[in-house]
Amino acid sequence: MAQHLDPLPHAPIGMVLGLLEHLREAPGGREDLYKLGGPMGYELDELLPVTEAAKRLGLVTVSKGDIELTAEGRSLATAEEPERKRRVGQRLQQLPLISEIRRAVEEGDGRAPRRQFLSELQHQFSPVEAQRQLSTALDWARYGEVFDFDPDAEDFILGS
Amino acid sequence: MTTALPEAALDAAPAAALLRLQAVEQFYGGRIRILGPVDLDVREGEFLSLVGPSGCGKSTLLRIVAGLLHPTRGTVLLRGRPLSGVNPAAAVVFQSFALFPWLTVVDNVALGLEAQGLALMERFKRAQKYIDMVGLSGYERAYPRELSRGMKQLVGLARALALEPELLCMDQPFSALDVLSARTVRDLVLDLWSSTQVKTKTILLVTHSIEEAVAMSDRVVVMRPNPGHVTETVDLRALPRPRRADQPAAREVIDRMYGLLG
Repeated sequence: MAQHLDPLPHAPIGMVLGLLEHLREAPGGREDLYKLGGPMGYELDELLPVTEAAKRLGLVTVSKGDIELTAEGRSLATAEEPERKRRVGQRLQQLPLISEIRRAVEEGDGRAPRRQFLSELQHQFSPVEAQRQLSTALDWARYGEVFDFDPDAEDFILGS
Repeated sequence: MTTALPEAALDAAPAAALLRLQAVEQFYGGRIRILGPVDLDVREGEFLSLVGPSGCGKSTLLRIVAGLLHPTRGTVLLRGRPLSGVNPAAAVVFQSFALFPWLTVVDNVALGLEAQGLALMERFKRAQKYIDMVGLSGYERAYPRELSRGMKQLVGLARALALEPELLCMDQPFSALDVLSARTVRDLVLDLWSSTQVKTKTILLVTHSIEEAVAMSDRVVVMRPNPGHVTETVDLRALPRPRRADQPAAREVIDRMYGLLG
């Protein structure tokens, strides 16, 4: 695994999709960051992981207090299932942790033990944060159908 | 009292009542009236919302419609026949999701289908169809604790839709969700309601949010407490979709409803 990973922001993928839909209806696909908070009933600390996740997936750009949909973010916001799922899956493969797990599963005949990633992540993160990184990676990967998890064997596996 | 936007009057023939409540009353402890008397039609194919503050009896009314609660007085007619017991035409989405923590997503969705007499393979085929429809494919093997609240409510929705009910009853389905997740689920419900894929065409939504009711519904029933009663039914069919709270026409209706509840 890479020496240093940018940690995944802990945002449920459903909130990221909700953010895209919100921005799609904003004039020009752009909104003041501060406007996302108050009126929608969010504290900034709840919202930051969501905007950060959208940014990491290349779906928005954030600059000078504005948040704006990218071309990919716009087409994803207007796409319907299963097209939306497929596009998210493609974006996810560009994140190191998720693509590493996917590759390990493919090379391991459809299975890769979770503990292997947990111990590697603990070189960089606390044990709790390492677990959260894997939970978030799994939540996103399930949505994009990049990989799944077998709770009995505690292995990451290919989806059905 | 019923008021209508002018254009709605053009729609001369009202749809048939799927469900008709006549002089329904609910008492607590046999003596305290908490609801009614209420007369209400749930028309075939409509999106109907019950809105009002807590204590106005909107959730009680939903439970009566779903047949989960038998009213103290009055009658409930399903296509003209008295309803006794659980409403066979209805499925319910609960605020608290009501998922079984020890079952996976696919098992939770397939759960109610055994009672419909479907064979095992058919149950999972049907469950998969509705899991795909709500965008949850990939999560089949996940347990509820691994899901965000928004995803949990999608499982609740898939489970209700998989029963292919004529009437979908939703009891404050978005109020336990954060605003962004609620938005995704709400948009999905509207998409599915207007799509040809879904057999369920009649929806009863209970909400405390006037904006939500106006954004989604054909008709909104405004209720007030002490005891719970219907104060007005507002027909919104002339208001074009998709609706947004900042459109002047929608804003006007929303403001008027706040006035009714104020």
